[in-house]
Amino acid sequence: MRRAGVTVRRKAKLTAAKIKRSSPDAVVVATGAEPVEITVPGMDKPHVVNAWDVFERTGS
Amino acid sequence: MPGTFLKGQVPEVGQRVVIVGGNAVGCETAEYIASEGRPDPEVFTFLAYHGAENSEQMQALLYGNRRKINRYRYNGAPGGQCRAVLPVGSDEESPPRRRGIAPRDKLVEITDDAVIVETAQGRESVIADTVIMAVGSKSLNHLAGEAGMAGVETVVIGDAKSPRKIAEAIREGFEAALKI
Repeated sequence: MRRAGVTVRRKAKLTAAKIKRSSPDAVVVATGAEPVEITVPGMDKPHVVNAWDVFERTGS
Repeated sequence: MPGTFLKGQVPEVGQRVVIVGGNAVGCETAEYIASEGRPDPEVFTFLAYHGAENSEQMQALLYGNRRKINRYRYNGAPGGQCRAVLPVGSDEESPPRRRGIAPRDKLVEITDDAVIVETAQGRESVIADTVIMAVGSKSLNHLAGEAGMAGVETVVIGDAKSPRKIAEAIREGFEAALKI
């Protein structure tokens, strides 16, 4: 990344105002997705987990 | 909101699992947790070659964690796509069975030890110590729509545009870069 001349900023909240101030030629938004949450009685119980979190486990 | 309260935590997956969601993530999750604990082909071959266990014990290794897994779609979401590849677990005597899931089953409620499902025959209680939600993804792209972004050339790519497969995200990234 550094060799390609890319500056990476982490742990900083990005706002529309900050983007405007830096007046970029273009903004690419690649912020991904999040799991859909449905409303079913009992959804908030501790044994209800999300598939994404299951895949992130480091073995069992 | 499981995605929220589990942040930074490692979810425990028990032996009686219900997966809610019938699409790719639901199917892959079922495959993944069903095969957890199963030796990989190289280890299995090594053990078999050296006669480390008798054939029954070798076969038992493949049945892995003996989890019972049921998968259900949530109201209206398409399901049943991967019936043939879904191992449902086994009891002590029999090898893993494969069981189809009625496409009309609907999730009604999650209790402490079961999932209540509406089937064509009425309400059924499916025992579950773990319920895995795999009901889909939604794009995270609110930054692109903010009023303060007016006048800035903005390109939304990948899952932020619409959750799909990695190949599409890579192609979009490439095309967006060419365009800019």
